Amino acid sequence: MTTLLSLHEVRKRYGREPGVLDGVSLDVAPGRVVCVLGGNGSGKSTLLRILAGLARPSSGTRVGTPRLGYLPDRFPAGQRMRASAYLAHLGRIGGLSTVDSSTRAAYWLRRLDLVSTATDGDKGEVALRQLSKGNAQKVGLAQALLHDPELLVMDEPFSGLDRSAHGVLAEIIAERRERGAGIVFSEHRGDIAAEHADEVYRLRDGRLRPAGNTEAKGDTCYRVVLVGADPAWSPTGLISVVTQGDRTELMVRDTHCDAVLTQALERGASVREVMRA
Amino acid sequence: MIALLRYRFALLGHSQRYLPPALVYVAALAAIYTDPTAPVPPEFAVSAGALVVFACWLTVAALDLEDPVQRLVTLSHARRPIALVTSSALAVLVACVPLALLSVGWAAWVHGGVPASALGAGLLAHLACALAGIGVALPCSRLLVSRLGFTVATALGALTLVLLVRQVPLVNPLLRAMGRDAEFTGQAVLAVALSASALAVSLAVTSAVAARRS
Repeated sequence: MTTLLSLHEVRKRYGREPGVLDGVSLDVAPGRVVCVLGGNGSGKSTLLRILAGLARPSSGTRVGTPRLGYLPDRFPAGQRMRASAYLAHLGRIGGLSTVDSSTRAAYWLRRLDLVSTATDGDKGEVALRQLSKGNAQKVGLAQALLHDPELLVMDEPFSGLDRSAHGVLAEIIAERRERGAGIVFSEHRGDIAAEHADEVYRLRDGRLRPAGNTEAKGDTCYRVVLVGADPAWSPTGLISVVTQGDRTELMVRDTHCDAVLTQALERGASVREVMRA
Repeated sequence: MIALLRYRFALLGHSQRYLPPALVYVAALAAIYTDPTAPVPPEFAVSAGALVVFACWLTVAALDLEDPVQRLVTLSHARRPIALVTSSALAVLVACVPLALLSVGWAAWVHGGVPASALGAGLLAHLACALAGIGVALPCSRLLVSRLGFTVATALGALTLVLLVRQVPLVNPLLRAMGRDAEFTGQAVLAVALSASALAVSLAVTSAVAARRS
């Protein structure tokens, strides 16, 4: 099997602190989506930084030089620069021409629906520091995608995004996978890992192990297709939502499926399809 | 590197963190160039010494503009850690050029009839001091020192060593020669070479240590 990137027996420790990673090996193949599950402080971010070549392992090897996109867990939008200008700068830094950078930045901002939400009436596009956490995360996602990466490394990409952006991110993951890119993302929720990843691993005590089927999948999910539902509706038990015109596709936990269906009908929506995901 | 430089200037421009040191430096020039009969080299010595402080201050400010996570994002596009540090140092060096020209031009305007060779030597002296200031600032910056208070303390200590201690041969011998109103062109050339070497070492060490800690 060809691999885009391999880690072999990677260890990482900061100063005299106990080791964060203790002999982690991982192969990322083209067209595969890998999810790393783990709790807070388990070392997911460190592992992803090493994968992205942004941190050096204390020992062990990292083999492979794919074109990379990296999204941190908390995109720090503290600048006074506007999102489009910031993305154009990063595009140029990565080797794109000014025209290409601006075109790609505009495409991703539009695709992630930041154009409408990051403007302030007549003042035009607002500065990065004025963006909400979710919109800042969208800018982070846009910069990770600017260079059409062969390997996309994302640290808890679903956190901070609203439900509709979850759908767009799911589409992007599926598109990149179809185009043969490798994707590695971290998560702490098993249901999201099971929904999007081909391979799920659990990082615990510095060691990476394949996650058990139950652990990875979490709750059973149902796919509910509605027509005429409010796209902004966010019922309890909702995992993700994709809206296409009048049609809304919800992913809901089985424990909440009946309640979601009842509420949808009460709100005037029409149920077109319900199936186990 | 051009793209990184443009990004650095955009960050600095938006933050306006260049304004306080620039205003302090211009105020210093206004205090220095008041007497048309005073000898020029000692005035250049004070102005160049002030440029060491300006360059150090601006370098610390420029490297403080990105928090560690944002620096990682920039690194994911630039790929080479040393390119990030080098671009910040270059941006500060470029920012020092108009101030050095302002100082030399101010001296020429106040004194009148200053030979071009003396103005050229004065520019070299300012260049040496800018290089030394940046070299001092890099290891004291946020890249290696996480708390601003410690950054200020270490930078002040290092500036004192570089400017005042005779045994540190970066710009001190040059500033002393200028203060004595002696011929200093040779000293200025030597100081540029030494300060540029010190800056190269500072860049390499700071970048390597920062990468090792990441």
